[in-house]
Amino acid sequence: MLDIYIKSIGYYIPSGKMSNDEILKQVENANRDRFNRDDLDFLIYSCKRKFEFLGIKERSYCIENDNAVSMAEKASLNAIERAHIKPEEIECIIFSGVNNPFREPSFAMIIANQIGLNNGDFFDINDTCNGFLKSIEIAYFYLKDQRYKNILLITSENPYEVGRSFGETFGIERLEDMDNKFSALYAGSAAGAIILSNEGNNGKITHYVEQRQTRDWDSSLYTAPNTGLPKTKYKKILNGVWADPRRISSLIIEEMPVFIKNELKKNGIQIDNIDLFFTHQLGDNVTFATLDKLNIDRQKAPINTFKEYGNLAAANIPVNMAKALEAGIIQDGSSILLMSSACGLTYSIAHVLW
Amino acid sequence: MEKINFNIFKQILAENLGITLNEINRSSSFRDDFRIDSLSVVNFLLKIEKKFKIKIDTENMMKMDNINNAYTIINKLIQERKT
Repeated sequence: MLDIYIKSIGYYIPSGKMSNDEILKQVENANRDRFNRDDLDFLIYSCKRKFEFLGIKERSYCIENDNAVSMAEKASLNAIERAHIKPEEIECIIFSGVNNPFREPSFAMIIANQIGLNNGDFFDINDTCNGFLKSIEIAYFYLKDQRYKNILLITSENPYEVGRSFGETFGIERLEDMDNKFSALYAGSAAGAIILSNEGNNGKITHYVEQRQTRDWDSSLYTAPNTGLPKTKYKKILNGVWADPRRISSLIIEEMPVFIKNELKKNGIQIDNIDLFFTHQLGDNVTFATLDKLNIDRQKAPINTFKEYGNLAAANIPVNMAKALEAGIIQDGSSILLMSSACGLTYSIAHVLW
Repeated sequence: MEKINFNIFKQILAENLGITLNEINRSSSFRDDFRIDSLSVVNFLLKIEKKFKIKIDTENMMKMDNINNAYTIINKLIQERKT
């Protein structure tokens, strides 16, 4: 049992909204010289139809003075304010996120400086979309050791800022390559922050468990340009964002419900007693397939930011939780399950008693 | 236009979705029997649209959660297609 507490949850979603047509204009421009008009029309048409099926209309992105740093700062200060503490009471910051724009220094150091902290333990981790939940486990070790009293976990996802790696995504060589790039077309921007502590009245995190397998490491990739890859099972992997969506989805649909059932049983948690589920939102097709296989009423996953903001990567779960709190959906006594799947592959869950 | 024979349809499914031919039967569920998510089915149906020059609206796509539904609806649209 972890027995650490969520003191507060903060978030920030930038005001920019990129429509389906706007992102498809970028796709068209990136491929104008590669395909004839008929093929280009089919490419755009098929993307539009898939957006329609998924129900996504817009994805959030940074405009004006917003960027990954400003989002992280705003979400952090939001969490600090909601926790009724001062920034100097934060002793440790752990940053996690798929779209971390900083190799040096760590993003956490920059966030610390932005919120007025000079000294402390500030570092980044990379566990792809599972990063935020993984950082909960890491924080647990520090809190249980009583090394720190307040730890800020922060994620800030702004895929459109990460430059060439993401930008190269939209150019393809064959029409069918868009199947492997499509997930990049509904990536959204947001930041989420949680303050964890040893003490509290609500938001007790009781468990975090994970399962990893490496055999499908190559089924979803996000690499810098010209990255050298080891031997893979695929004939060709394109640079930037690339995925085998069929394989990823089929693995999640098959393996994640089994993992969840087994771990809940092992840890004495009755799935029927869980009130709310917050999932990493790859898309409704995967989210609902997983919930359905677990015989979970979809109404128990009431917050769905995917259609309005897109896939927010590691920020999905903290943003969804924050919105649920604002809406009064999370109440005292709520039993909550956080569910994450991430490329690599990793599945994880965290149980929270509010 | 004449409808597609079921064996031909099975071959199209096998080639496009990577399903083993002899595992496909009319009652097979895309998700439960082959672990194919709904968006992957949509991807496949868009290729069917192009191949057979038909239009499958989203409402019909959502009904195609198993092989039989997909086969029936696609054939209906093929036969209704104006030549």
